[in-house]
Order: sequence, then C-alpha cells, then structure tokens
Amino acid sequence: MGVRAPHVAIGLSILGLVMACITLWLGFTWAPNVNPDDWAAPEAYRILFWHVPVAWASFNAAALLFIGSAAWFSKRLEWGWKLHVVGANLGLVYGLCVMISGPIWGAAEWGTPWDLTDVRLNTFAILAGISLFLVMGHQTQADNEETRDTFATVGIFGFILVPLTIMAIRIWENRHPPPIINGDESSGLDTEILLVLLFGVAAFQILVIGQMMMRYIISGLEERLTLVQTAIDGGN
Amino acid sequence: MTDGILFLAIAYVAMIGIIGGWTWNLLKHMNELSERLSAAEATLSESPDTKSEEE
Repeated sequence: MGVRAPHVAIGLSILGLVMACITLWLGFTWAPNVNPDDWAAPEAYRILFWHVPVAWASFNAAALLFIGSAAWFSKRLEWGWKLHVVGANLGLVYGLCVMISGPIWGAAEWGTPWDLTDVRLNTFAILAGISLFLVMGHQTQADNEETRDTFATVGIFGFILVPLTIMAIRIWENRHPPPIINGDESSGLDTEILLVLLFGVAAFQILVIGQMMMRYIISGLEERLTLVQTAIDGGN
Repeated sequence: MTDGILFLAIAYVAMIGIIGGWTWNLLKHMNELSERLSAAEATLSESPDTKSEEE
C-alpha cells in the first residue's frame, strides 16, 4: 500500500463512524414509530438501525476471511494470509455486536434472548464462534505454514455458514423475522425506516473498508518491523 | 415502555463500545507501530555496519 494509505484508511473509518452516528440520530428522530399493536416492545425496534448493518458487515468480513483463506491455502499468497487475519478480526467485532444486540432485542420483543430451535440464530452464533476461535488461535499459536493451513481450512469451510445463515430465515422461518429487503410483501418496511436502514448499511460498509485497510496496514508494519529488527540484531 | 428503552440503550451502548473501542485500538496500534518502525529504521541507518557498507 502507498504512503497515503494510512490517511485514506483513517479518513474512511472516520467517515463510516460519522455516518453510523447520523444513522442513529435519524433512527431516533426521523424514523416513525411502529404500530404498538403489532410489536411487544415497539421502542426496541430501533435496535434494527445498527443490528442489520452490523450483520451485513459481519457477512462481508466472512467473505474476506474466505477469499484470504483460499488465496493462502491454494497458492501460499502472503496477502491472502493478511486478508484472512483481517477477516477474522472484523468477523469477531461485528459478530459480537450482532450477538449482543440480537439477544437484547429478542429479550425485549420475544421475552427470551435465544431460541435454540431457530436455525438462523444458531448458524450465526457458530459463525461468530469461528471468528473468535481464529482470533484466539492467531494470538496463541506459532505462526508457521502448518498452523496457517489449519486456520485457513477453518476459514474456507466456515464460509458455508454465510449462505446457510442468509437462507435460514427463508427456508425455516421460526423465531427470527423474515428478510426485510428482498423478502416477501409482508416484510416491507416504511420508506423512512428503509432509507435510514440503507444509509446505515452504507455507513458500516465504508467503516469496514476503512478498518480493513487499517488492519492490513498494521500487518504490513509488523512484518517490516520484524525485518528491520532482525537486521539490527544481525548487525550487532 | 421503560423496559423497551432500557433494552435499546443497553444494545447501543454495547455496540458503540465494541466498535468504537476496537477502532480506537486499531488506530493507536497503527500509530505505535509506525513510530517503532521509524525508530528502528533510524537505529539501523546509524549502526556502524550500515555506515561501513555505505562507505
């Protein structure tokens, strides 16, 4: 990456964060109330304005993890491994956000934070668990080809959970609501709510790009620092 | 109603904490590494071996 890359990464992250704050503000002030007769906790529906965008962000992170893992595993590409690390980190951050906001919303709306019979909830929990496993593994295991291969395999097969999680609410609709975008007619939202939600999705996509660049730059800096330190040690 | 707002507040505080905290740490770590790298490169360029190679 070029000299300007850190500035671009920081700029995109700040833009994403500002847009995420605007989403929150619009969600609380501009988006209308929902019909209290249709919802058990109508006030809590506003969790949606970040819950859905962070879920999409976590799917993007899983896609990065898959591409990086496949690139490393098939061709031993160094950028592939860096992307794998970035995807695992982002997957954990956004997976954690979904895993916290979802059950809180569930507790308010359904009266229970979790439903073990709901496929969507369970597959997403496993996906977030995979990110946690990878991040902890990267920090505790020796960095060599064998461990990278093992983690890359987990990253590749873990990605199967993404289409499964997305399709779960279409195939086995249980507790989790049906898709709100590209769903059937009953899942339609008010225009204002949909606009705020789409603005939120854009905000988190920009934030993810900024954070991805920052994490990628960090991997490069760590690599260069190791090389320079080795040169210094070798010189003395 | 109070319960709904309380749940809403807890969810957002948690998400803001996680995303904000992680982004801040990322930024701090990036700056820290840049500084360490600059210092290490300066040390390397000042080391006698590097100087003798340059000469």
